Amino acid sequence: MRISMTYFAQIRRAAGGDTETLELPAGATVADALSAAAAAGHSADFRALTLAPDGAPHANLIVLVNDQPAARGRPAPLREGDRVSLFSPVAGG
Amino acid sequence: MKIKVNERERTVADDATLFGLRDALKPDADVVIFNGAPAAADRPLAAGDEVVLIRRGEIPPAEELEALMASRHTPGVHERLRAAAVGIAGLGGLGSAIAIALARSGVGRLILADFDVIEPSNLNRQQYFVDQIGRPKAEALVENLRRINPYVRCEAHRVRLTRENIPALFGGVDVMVEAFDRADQKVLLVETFTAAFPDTPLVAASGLAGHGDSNALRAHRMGRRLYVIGDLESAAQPGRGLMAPRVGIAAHLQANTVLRLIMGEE
Repeated sequence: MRISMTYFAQIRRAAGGDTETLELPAGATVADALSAAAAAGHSADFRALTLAPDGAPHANLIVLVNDQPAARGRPAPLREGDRVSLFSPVAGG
Repeated sequence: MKIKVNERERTVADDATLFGLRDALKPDADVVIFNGAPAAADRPLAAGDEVVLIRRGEIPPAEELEALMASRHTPGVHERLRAAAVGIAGLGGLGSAIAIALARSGVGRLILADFDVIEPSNLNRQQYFVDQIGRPKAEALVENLRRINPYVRCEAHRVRLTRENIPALFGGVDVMVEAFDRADQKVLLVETFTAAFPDTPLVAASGLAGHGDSNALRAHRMGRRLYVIGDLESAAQPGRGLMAPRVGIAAHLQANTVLRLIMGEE
């Protein structure tokens, strides 16, 4: 199935672009999409920003699926045509 | 003829004078503002004149203060804001300034949460005073808000926000504001609040440290109901501290986004 990815701020720079399309097996989750994106030839920064050492989504990462923030450890698989957006907020307030 | 006294329309005799009006309505007033400037001498009044009678140090009754504060708002805006409830998570540089802007704007109810106490280093950007150092922010901010408007309804919680308590504390707000300092707390608030209240707009902030370009700070719509204010990249770190102007710009961009959401314009 095809999933579209959108990147903001530092993740966009690490990915070298705003958007890309990933081809994932049926049943893939958000974590699978992140791993696939990290393996897609992006800089090491991309992995560092999006994935924790154990392969789970990074603690400082906001993942939106179809414009709605996804709960951490969202177990529900992605579906064909889903739009996944990634954003890492930075400290300061 | 009709004039305005303390922002309310009133009919007075055609030969009424300014100090005659004061003596009749509020003889203890020691400041008389006539058409926007303090008046030192008596003068005749004309239709359409605007008079404000003030006794120094006196807190006006709720209805009058509301009329005075709302007099600068566009008609119709005040009622919408007064009926609204806004939650603010984090009462530091962003949250304290946002709360003050919303209280001055006439937002009816504020639900405020922060576990922290005021430290001297906070005073470079946060809306507290030197005599409040060491006090809980949740308590001191309510005190400061009451000095602006004693009638604003504030619900302040000195609590560390968690995935467990966020839904209970902020249920029922019309707009939620993320005003934390730490990045992982920002994520926690966004994930937890939107999971509990997917249809309630949330205004977050990211990228406001230092003294970089003011115009790089703006509102980004990231999801259906998620707005992020900032340049998205300027993290607080050694060599790039949090400073009052840029934190204040971001806070007021957040506050204005809240007003626009309440008014149904976003």
